[in-house]
Amino acid sequence: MRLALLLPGLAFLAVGFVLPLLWLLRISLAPQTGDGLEAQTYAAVLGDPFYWRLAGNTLLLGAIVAVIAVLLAVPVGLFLARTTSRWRGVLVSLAIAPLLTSTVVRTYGWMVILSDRGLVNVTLRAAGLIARPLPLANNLTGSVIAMVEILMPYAILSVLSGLGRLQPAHEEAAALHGANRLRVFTRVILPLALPGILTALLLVFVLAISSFITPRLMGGGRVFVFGTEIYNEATVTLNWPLAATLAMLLLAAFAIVITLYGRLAAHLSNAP
Amino acid sequence: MTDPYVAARDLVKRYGTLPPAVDHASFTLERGEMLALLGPSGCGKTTILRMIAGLVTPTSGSIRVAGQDVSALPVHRRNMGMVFQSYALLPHLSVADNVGFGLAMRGIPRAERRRRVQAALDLVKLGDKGGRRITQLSGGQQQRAAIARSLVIEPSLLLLDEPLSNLDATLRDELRGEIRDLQRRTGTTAIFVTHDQSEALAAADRIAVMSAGRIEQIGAPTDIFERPATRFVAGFIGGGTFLDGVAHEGIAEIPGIGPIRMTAVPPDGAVTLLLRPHRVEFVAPGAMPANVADGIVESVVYTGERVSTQVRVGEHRVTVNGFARGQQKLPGDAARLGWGEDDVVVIPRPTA
Repeated sequence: MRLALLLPGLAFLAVGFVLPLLWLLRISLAPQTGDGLEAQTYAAVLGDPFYWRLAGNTLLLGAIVAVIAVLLAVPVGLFLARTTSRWRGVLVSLAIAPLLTSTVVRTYGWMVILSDRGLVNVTLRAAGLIARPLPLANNLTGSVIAMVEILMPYAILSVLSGLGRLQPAHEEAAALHGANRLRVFTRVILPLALPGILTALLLVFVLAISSFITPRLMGGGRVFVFGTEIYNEATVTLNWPLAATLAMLLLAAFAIVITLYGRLAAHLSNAP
Repeated sequence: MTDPYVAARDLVKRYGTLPPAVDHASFTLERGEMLALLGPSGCGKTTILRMIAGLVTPTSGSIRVAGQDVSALPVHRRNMGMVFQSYALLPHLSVADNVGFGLAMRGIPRAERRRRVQAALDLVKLGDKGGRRITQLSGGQQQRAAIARSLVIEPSLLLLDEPLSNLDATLRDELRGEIRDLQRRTGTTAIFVTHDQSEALAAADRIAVMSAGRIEQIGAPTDIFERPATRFVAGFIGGGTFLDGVAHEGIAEIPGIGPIRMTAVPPDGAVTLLLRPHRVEFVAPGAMPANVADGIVESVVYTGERVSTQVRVGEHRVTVNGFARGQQKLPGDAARLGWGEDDVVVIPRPTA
């Protein structure tokens, strides 16, 4: 009975995830010419400093976006978790409402806001604060700004759900037994929020290093990351073995990050 | 005359235009005393406790503890301990670190802290559980740890907010006794909020009975039970059959029952009497109690040790609680009820 209920889901995963993944692996191992399997493409990629720089760029962009998004999301998540306002439900919905819009649309929205003749630059120039437009679009800055905004709802949700264990009585008990506001924050709220914050960092980081739409559109061809490179190789150069190899390497990076996170989470929850 | 150790004067808490949650509540505690705030949910008892703790700001009124007005002190400077209904132990800390939390906040050196935490854990019989995580403790053990956390700081006042209501019945009685014992042994002054009359009667030195934001009566458990000041207090604690009638020269004429003689002498005029179910008996043949009434048995509830019988007497329904022994009455049986002159409680009329 239990198996019967599991079966449709497992079948779906097998067809929609496992098989394509194996196929991807197969493509990545295809030689440039002829038949058979060989790790030639992997050797070429790993031996090429260009891809190491690309990996460095990707991880750096992911780290910057994750840190900024989580820093912005933590106060919002803490507020939403602790507020007793009757608007709480509405506010939570508002915080995650951006997820209802596609990434492409939101990226174009940011292009309108950040371009040389966009809202920000026009306003600042009209106010006489700047003489020439700030370089906010078609570069790394624009990519980071847009990615932070696009990925922040995930961070807010993680922080919010991670705070499920925090009860108002915990803060009250700490205050009664002698903790001032700062110590209630550092000794009670922050430790209880930590697992949610770590999940948020992981989630945003993983989504950021795998993204290609926003870096491609907002980067103006100047931001090179794994995602954009895979997209190029697959759709422009049509070098599928290379695209597949890069995808597999990105997947390996995910596996490493998630394993490290699992270790850390287990360590945190075992330490009383 | 020395000042009382704790004095709450005219505490009022209003939320918007609603009727006040707490309406001019005043009470005092002597050092080492345990006061129970007893009342139905929503009567304001928890609000009073939270105002004393500093978690709720009173609309008006003052709170003094040990000669100091604490109203202006922030929560963390009041040096009070509080035991929560939900225990409120910090899930990321060990049992020992939870108990030592207040000492750490007070900057007590590690060695002394460890010694005092161990002593507090021993006191609540958790001496070997200090290294455990909170989730590895049972509900009763968690509440004991919470009590240790509050006692270890040697609080000026210990506040307990329905500390037993999340525990099962057996554990509740056991822990009630333990809390009382600890409070006495440590000489801690305590205020204890509950909606359970038996908890209040068994554990407190004095009880303040509350209704709709007001304190109806404050007194020792026997005062509250034997000499209730209002019909609400009598009904909330113990209950029984209320009989309305007219008193004349110490004898009350109750329509449908007849004259009732009593030790207490009520003023002439309208009077309300209370018959406690355990003070009414079925009259044995030949016995001549001071008061008798004849009725018909309506229902019988048997709970093993005791039997509760409802008897219709005229338009009144009198409950008789007795130990289960001998032949039980059956619905429809005729029954003669009797009670003595000192088994009648006279409820004072509200003075307008």
